[in-house]
Amino acid sequence: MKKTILFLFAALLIAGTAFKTDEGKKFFTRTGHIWFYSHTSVEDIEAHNYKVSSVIDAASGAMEFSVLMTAFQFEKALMQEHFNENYVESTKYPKATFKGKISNIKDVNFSKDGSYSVTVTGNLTIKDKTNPVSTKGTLVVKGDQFTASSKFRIKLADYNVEIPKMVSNKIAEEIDINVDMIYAEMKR
Amino acid sequence: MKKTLIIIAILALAGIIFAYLMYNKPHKDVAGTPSDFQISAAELYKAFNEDEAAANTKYLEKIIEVQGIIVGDLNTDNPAEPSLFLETGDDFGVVSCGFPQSQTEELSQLKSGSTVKVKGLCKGKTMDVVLTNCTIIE
Repeated sequence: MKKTILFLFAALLIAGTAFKTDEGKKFFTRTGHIWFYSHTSVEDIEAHNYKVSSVIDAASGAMEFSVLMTAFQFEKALMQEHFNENYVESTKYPKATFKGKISNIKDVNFSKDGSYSVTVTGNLTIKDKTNPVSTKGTLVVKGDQFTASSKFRIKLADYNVEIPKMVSNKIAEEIDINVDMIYAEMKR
Repeated sequence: MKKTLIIIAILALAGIIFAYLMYNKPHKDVAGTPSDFQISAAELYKAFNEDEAAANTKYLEKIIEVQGIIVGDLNTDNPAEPSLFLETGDDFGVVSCGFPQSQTEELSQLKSGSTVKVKGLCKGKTMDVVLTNCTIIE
């Protein structure tokens, strides 16, 4: 009888570990890389932000990004000034945010190294305008970290970013946004 | 008539030179500019935590000398901007300092737990208070 109970207990334990989930795990980064690119026949403009903050909930797929506008670095100081003062008015709106989720989070196994295609949906807020965004991305799991990358386009007009007529031929109406992040487990 | 033309030409030239200089004006030399504030990492973080709007008004785009204790190793997730993190006494956030790539070697010599003074441009707060264009002040 004792042996049976012991055997059952052991079997339950083993069975339990087979169902180990990613429940409760959160991943984050404070050095996320987001950069945008505007292409026109006159000029190409590029700016990089290496201080993006983001958290992903492994169980629900919920993801949040927080982007400091003044942390976008341009090659030309004058362009950076115009960007902050005129286009995004960063003193008034210091942060852009994204709140959404990886809609197919169940397809991602954070415990198994590999590349996973994901779909991300959510709301992007720049200045005082919020618009829904949906895009594809790639998650590459390696050990207890993973990289997440994605590329999508936004229309500047959708976010109240006004380009003065004088420079309208230098700045594209739609710009490409690239996301390239390395997430590690949040240990709390 | 000729005199007028010459004056116009000179003005036009001056305008072109000015526009060229403006277009190519250099980024602020943070290291070479006197700091606006000298504060501890804990105090800076506290200011942003307690009243972010007021802290932004006070510190955003200002040059700050922050003193603090390094937590963790040099972060090189972005080779273009190696980062050091300073303790704030708060579990949830640090003062995150981004440096030029050229300083990577020098920065990797600094040990976690040691006290440093970092001079940089304050960019605001996400989960952490962020400084960029940083240099180490000995």
